[in-house]
Amino acid sequence: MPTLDVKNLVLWYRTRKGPVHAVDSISFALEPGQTIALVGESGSGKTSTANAILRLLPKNVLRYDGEVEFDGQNVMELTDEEFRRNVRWRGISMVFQGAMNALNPAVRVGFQVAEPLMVHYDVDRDEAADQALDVLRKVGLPADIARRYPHELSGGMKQRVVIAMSLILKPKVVILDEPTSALDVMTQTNIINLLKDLKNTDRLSYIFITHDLGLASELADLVGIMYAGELIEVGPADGVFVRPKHPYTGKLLASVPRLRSEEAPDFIPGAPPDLTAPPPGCRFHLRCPVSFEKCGWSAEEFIAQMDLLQSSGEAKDKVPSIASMSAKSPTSLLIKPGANGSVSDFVQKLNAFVAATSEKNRFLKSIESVQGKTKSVEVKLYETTPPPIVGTEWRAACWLVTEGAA
Amino acid sequence: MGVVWHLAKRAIFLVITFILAIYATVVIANGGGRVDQILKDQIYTDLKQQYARNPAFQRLPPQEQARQFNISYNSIIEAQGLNEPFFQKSFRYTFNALQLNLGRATQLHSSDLSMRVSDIIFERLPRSLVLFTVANVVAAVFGIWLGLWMARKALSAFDRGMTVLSVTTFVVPPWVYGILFILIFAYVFKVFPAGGLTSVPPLPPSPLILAFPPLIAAGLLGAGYVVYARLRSKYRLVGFGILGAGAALLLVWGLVLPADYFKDMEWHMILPAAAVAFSVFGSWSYTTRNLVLQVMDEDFVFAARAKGLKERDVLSRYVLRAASPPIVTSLALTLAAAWTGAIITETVFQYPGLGLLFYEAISLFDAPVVIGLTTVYALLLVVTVFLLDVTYSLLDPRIKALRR
Amino acid sequence: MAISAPIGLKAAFLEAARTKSGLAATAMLGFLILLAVLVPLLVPFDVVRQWSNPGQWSDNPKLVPPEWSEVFTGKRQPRTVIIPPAGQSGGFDHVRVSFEVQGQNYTIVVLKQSFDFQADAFPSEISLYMTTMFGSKSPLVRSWLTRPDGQEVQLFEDTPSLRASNVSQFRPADVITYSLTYPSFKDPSYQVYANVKQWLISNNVTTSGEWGELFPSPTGFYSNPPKAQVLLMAQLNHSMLDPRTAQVLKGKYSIKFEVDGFSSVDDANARAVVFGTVYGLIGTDDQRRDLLIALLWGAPVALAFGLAGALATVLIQTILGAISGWYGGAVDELVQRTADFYLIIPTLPILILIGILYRPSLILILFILVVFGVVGATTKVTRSIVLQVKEEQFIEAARSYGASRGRILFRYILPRVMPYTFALIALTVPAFIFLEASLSFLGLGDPNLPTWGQLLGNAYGAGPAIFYTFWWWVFFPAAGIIFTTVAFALLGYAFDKVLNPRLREQ
Ligand SMILES: Nc1ncnc2c1ncn2[C@@H]1O[C@H](COP(=O)(O)OP(=O)(O)OP(=O)(O)O)[C@@H](O)[C@H]1O
Ligand code: SF4
Ligand SMILES: [Mg+2]
Repeated sequence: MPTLDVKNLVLWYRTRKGPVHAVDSISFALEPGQTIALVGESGSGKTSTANAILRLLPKNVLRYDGEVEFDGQNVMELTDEEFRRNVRWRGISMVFQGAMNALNPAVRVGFQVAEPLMVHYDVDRDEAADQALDVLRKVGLPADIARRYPHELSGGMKQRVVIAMSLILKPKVVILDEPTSALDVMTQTNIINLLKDLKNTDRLSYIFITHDLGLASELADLVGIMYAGELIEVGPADGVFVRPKHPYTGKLLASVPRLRSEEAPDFIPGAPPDLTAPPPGCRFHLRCPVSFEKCGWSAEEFIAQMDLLQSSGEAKDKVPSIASMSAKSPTSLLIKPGANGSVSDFVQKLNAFVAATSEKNRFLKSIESVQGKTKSVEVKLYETTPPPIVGTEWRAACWLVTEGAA
Repeated sequence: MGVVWHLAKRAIFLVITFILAIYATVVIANGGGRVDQILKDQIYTDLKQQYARNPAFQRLPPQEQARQFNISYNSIIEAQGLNEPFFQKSFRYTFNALQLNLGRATQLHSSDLSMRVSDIIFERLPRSLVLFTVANVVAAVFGIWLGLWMARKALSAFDRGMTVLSVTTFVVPPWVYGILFILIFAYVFKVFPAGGLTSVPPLPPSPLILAFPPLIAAGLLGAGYVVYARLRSKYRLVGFGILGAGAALLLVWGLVLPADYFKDMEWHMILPAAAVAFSVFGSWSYTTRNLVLQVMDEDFVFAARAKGLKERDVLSRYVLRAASPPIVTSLALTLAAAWTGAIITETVFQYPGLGLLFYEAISLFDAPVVIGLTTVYALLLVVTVFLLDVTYSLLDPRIKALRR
Repeated sequence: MAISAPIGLKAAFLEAARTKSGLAATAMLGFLILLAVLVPLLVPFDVVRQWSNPGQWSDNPKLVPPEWSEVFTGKRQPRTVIIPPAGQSGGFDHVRVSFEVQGQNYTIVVLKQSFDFQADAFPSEISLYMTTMFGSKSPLVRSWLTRPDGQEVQLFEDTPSLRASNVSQFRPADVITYSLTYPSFKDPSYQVYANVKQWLISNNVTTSGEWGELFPSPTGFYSNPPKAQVLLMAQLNHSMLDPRTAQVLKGKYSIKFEVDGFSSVDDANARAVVFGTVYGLIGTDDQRRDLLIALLWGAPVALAFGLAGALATVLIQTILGAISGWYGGAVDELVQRTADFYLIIPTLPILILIGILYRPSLILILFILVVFGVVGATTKVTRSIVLQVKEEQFIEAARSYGASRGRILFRYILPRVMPYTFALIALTVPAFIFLEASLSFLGLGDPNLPTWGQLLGNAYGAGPAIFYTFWWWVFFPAAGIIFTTVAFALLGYAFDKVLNPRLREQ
């Protein structure tokens, strides 16, 4: 039985610009002693996923549902008070991103480490302090540290204090949100080794959130790749890191600079999408190097891309000249041929252009049909849905994978 | 140690500032010597009139008249120290004021007809202390409570309404509310007296009894809370003990007092206290709300919640604690402002405290009283600022890190 | 104030104006500014300059509420009726006959005019003014009031003489001008009481004994004089003796003067004012001044004073704070210690002192306030913002390409601080308005300009009882101050909300 089983977890925020789909239907399971690395670009919803699991919700939550099974129990059904008493820190604890700020500047660190014991198990102060000392020692800190205030510690020390704090109740799952990102490499390695030891001795499960694929591969049994609020690929670390199924994962791996490598690191063109209005279909299709018919271009995106193409000098002579374009529905648009081009001419030219350049301009692949009307040309696009995540041990959400599996 | 050294430095600096402030007051209170001239003129005309009514004097030859007049005039001037050049005198005044040797009033006197400035001031000081301390403490407690509530319900209709109310009430000074309250409650509804200290004349033996027990009690209550809030179980009992002692003192004080007189006095204090509280609570609630919201956004508060602390504990142990140094700062500063703001408020209510005394003294050009009062005001401010520093360094261990 | 997303001044303005409180503030301030612009056009400054000149206001009723307040009493309140002198439209009818009998010249002058009185309440006062010119011998001057019920009551009879104290003389060709001001029937020495008493007794409304009990005057002076305007204008029955029960006799009244002179040059003219019990939009004060004028003029004065003071102090404080934070070191120390020093100096007492010693004009008061405000809270706030901004990347960048420190301060740092400065200005305006009001309240304001604080102070100075019974005298100036300051507070709050994104809705 998995220690943690997350199913269709959803967390949306309300903002002035509209709902932010920060976590959109995420599922994964974690066995005891297993570590999952959540990897993704900044803003892809990793921290939000962690917060959603611990039910740490800001005021502007718009939607929060799904299932989180912890130790076989669906904790989403607990009341806030039950959840606080039984799950928080006792079952699942967390090392926050920017852990330095997670310490109260006005309270001695020893007390902060010990506090959960007093809160959850009514341990008296001195006893709690003793246990805190043990844990602090375990993470490699000298005992006198307990009496200091946070501002008297170095960054690496604070990081260890926060890790100690997360371990004090011997939880089953620890969420580590970029626990090492602000540290130098030596300290990083130290902390990763510490985490590895703890994992082996205490059979802890980690959710290890990071940008750093190298670190992720050090520690992780499973890898989950997040993109625009979705978990797009999840599977065994040795598999995902070696032969990624999802094109995004591939790009991500290729973008990691390698030491002493001749290859220049690849990069992913474009920027991550706006989570208030995630793209239809596959959320990655705007940047995907292998996107195709089914990946979900909308008429509006099509128009935008076409405009871009027209204005880019390089393709000017090849692009059929266009007077104007307008979206008719999400999957169809009308094009008025430009300067004295007849409709039938235009259809021909367009077809030729698509045939010639669709490998490069992948959005052209989304054309299902081109029909000449009296004065304009109607372009129909393929209708699609977001790719479902398929697979059992190793799942990915990409039409290529789905098709391949079929 | 760092904190001690820091506090010592502050103390020295504050003492220097205090001396300078007193000297500035001495110079201004005497109008740079102008008041001396006014007083001299007064003496001159008084003397002239006195002699004009004296038939024996009138019969003397003019030279003799002039001579005699000059002799008595000069002796009076000398007796009052008006012949010294002002520049010299200003140092003497300052020196005396610093020793709290405030001299004799020229016009005003206390209710037992003493003309010593210190008697006059100390007769009135407790009244102002009680009125403004009570009003400000009530406003602060209510304001902080409201601010916490607003922060908890942040962005709700309640919060928005209360925020606007707070922001719009605290820009208006107490005396304006005073006028409106008197208009409404004393004249339209006739529930409270319009002003004054009491409607019955007799005075209690020593007015100091009035002020000190409640002040000590307030101090005990405050200290008790601080100890209690330091959240270690051992100290909690001690904190409770101190709180209890404060409450008991208040109770005993309330029982011992001559009931009618004080009831009457309290009755008269309600409107002015309400006016002060009404104009002050808004800055409390608004500041508290904003600071608490700001702190609630801090990662360590988030972490506290993740650790499974109860919301109430998160609020009291983490949020309030982190927000309290700035809150205390604004407490002390509004209190300090309230002291000088009292002048008009007390005048509006004809409440015979320091403020009204100041107004009377200024109207009568009673320079010694003015200087004495300003000294007392400055002293109160200095003490407030210093206490602020002490509290700050107690509440916030980062003090060293924060102060450059 | 924590600094977060950098935001330009214009953007801050626009966004602040979009919040509800910002909208309210903009509307309120817009109204005030419109008022401030219009007032000098509607009520010329010359009128305001006459504020302290009592002669200017003598035709207004004394201390009466606004006209619209009659809706509370449900009674129709009388308005002031002025009967102008003969020769003006609606003025007294003037008939003069000169004749000679046995070598002696006589002149009879009759001045008469009527007015219609339909209100449910009695006038607050009646004043008669008369000017007589006569030769060497004093004429006989008499006056009557004729009531709608046909009753005629003599008001006074007088023989103006040169010895009387209220004679002003000038002699163009042997003519003496005599002015009789008959302002108030409250004056117990006037014969009108005797005349009224006589009239009432002869009509069997009262007896001499009852009159004596009701209006005791053992020394010849009434301690509680009868209200002549009530007795003269009430329905003729016993209830008229008590102003609370007296019923107004409605209809046409007429006032008549007769001068019997003993020369051919005698002549006379008269004026009468029947004072109402309500006046204008917001009533009058104890010196009969139209409070509306002062209330309206209070707006531009308060706005100008508050804005000028707030702008000056906040800008100075901002610059000092910025310099202190930016340059650090000795400069910083100096500014910070000065700020502490200012904190300890009891400003208001010193201000009051200066007010009493020098009676400064409004401009001077402003100047003094600014001097006392060159350092303060804003200096500290700005300093802390600058300390934060200083650490930011773009400053580093600017420094790395060699921009001078002063340049960075003015080109990069101050613009970042400006939105905060404006929020602080908005929040400081009320403080200045109230400081002026406080000084004026204590009677230490500019004596030549009515301000809201001065109105409150006047009301207060007139004695506590007067202060609170005559609510309009207190209420409107207080409302004016509160309205203005609240507008600025809301504006400051709107700014604060934009600048501290944590405090606003997501
Ligand atoms: N309280 C909130 N209100 C509105 N939007 C939010 C809130 N918290 C996060 N977001 C948005 O949700 C998205 C996901 O944020 P999240 O912090 O989970 O990203 P992340 O993957 O942890 O990024 P990083 O690697 O930078 O930490 C972002 O677009 C962020 O702007
Ligand atoms: S579905 Fe697969 S192929 Fe299509 S855009 Fe998404 S990642 Fe690329
Ligand atoms: Mg994150």
